[in-house]
Amino acid sequence: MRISTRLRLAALAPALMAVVMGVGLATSYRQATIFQGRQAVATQISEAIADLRDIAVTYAANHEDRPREQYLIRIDQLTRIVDGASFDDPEQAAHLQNVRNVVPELKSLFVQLVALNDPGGDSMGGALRQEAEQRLTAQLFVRSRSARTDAVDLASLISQDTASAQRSVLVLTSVAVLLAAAATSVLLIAMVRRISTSLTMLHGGAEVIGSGDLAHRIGGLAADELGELGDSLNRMAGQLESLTVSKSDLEQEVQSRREAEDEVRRLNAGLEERVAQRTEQLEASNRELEAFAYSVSHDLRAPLRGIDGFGHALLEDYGDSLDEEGKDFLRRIRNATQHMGRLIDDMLKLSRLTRAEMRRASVDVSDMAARTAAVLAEEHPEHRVDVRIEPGIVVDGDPELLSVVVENLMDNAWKFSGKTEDATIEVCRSSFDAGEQGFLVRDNGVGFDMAYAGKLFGAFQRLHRSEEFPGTGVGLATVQRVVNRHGGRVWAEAAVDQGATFHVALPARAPDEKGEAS
Amino acid sequence: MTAAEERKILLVEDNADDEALTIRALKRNNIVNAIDVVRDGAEALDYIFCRGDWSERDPHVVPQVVLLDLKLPKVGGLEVLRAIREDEALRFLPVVVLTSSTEEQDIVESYGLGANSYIRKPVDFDQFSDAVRTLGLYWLVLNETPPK
Repeated sequence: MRISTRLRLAALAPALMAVVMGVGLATSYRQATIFQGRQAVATQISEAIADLRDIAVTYAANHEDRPREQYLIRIDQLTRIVDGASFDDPEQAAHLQNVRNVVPELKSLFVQLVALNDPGGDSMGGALRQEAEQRLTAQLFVRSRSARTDAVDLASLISQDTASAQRSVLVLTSVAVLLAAAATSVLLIAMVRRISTSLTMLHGGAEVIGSGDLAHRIGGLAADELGELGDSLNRMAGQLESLTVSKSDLEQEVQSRREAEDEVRRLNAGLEERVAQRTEQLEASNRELEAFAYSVSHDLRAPLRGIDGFGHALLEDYGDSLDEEGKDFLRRIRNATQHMGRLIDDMLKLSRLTRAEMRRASVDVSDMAARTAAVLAEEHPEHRVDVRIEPGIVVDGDPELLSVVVENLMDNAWKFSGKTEDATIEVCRSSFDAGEQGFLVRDNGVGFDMAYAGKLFGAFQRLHRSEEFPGTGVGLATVQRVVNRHGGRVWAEAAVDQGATFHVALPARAPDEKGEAS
Repeated sequence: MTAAEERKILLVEDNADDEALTIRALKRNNIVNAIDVVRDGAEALDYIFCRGDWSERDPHVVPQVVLLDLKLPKVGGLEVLRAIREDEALRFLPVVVLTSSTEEQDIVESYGLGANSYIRKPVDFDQFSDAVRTLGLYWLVLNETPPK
């Protein structure tokens, strides 16, 4: 049962007691009224009988009409009272009945007495009449006393009855009030004990939770408001626990992020250090590689010289002893040797281009192309080429390096248009993106399949057999290196038997040497 | 002492093939001057300063021209060149650097130390022969040495 219900019940107890007391008092009052009525009836009867006796005495003395009439009126009054009254108690009823029985006799005796004194009636002798009158009067008095006794006894009984009834009402009321008070006390004590126990448990549980043990739960409480309070506390502890868990999670997260940041910072520092280290290593290994390339190409040339030189000596000194096939073999040996020599030279040149210091100047590409064309025309007089060079193509860059580019591109154009009739080579200004300047070299030679364009600029990559078009495959690799060092780009467009166009795009103002990759 | 013996060529060359080819190229171009060959830098210095194995050489006979390789065992060609130029009697001795290297640094250093000429040995013997012929014609025939 809920505490509020119990408290309501406890509050009802005084009201209940008041009701009980009220009912007791009302009962008592009603009984008092009833008993008062009965008392009044008994008193009226007793008074009426006394009056009748007095009136009868008065009448007997002087026989006047007035007492006679009074008596008759009074006896009728008494008759009405007696007839109207009724009592439950048998003893009382018996007394009343006695009175009832006497009243007609009293009337009858008085009527006889009146009749004796009626002047109009037969008159008895005086003595006789007197004797009769005395006898009648005596009888009347006897009856009157008897009735009076009964009336007094009745009144006495009623009085006793009233006291007894009032006592019992008082006792009943007192008992009822006492019982209600006792019940209320018991209820309140039980409730207080229960609340006290619950409060102690709540206090203990709250202390435990408050001390930090958020996993603690308060149990064993009744299903009342304090039980609900306990449940609320438990829920609060649960919420706190989850909050605390999330808070500790959060702290852990913050901590791990801080650690991660430190790690990132440390790694960054390490990374920079490593980048510096690696750069140094890379530079060292580049230097080693260059030294290696240099010494390899250097040392490789000596045996080649030996092979070629002694091949030459053999041909020259012992040529007569060899047939044509033997001489051809020797010539092939010398050709191969010389080709390898050129490869090594080109490799060296490529390596040198990569390492050479860059100078910056305005470079007249048109002029370079024209001079290259003149040299080519002189070297290959058998091959007639229509060379068209747009005048005034000027770019920013290293003159020496760019001359290698122009020479290589022109050389290629010349070479790959060597088998074309009406061979034409064009060198034109070409503009590309903003901030770029450039030129293109176009020929109408054999071209190549664009599928192999990716291989075009790799060192020693060739798209044609060297029997068709001689070469070492280093030229375009060299071109690309030079263009890269200028921060520019180079690409080709071609189709088989429809010529090739090589575009060179350089930054309008070449970037700083430092910013370049070598 | 014949003129050929007087106008000697000193060839400093460690590679036997190169030595043979150089001598062949000289002979082929009718250069008949006597040729002394030393095979490393230390021996070259011994020859020039008449020490060690060459202590019995007549110090008054100075080669007409020294053909000097740079990559040599023991003492490098540039060291030999430096020693020659530092010697009062030999500082005008014509020294032609004859090497495989076309390294800019080698060329610059050689001229810096007073080399008279720098010739790269080509792989193609015909080209090599041409080069030898040219240098022989120049240094042995056309060039006038300073009076002693």
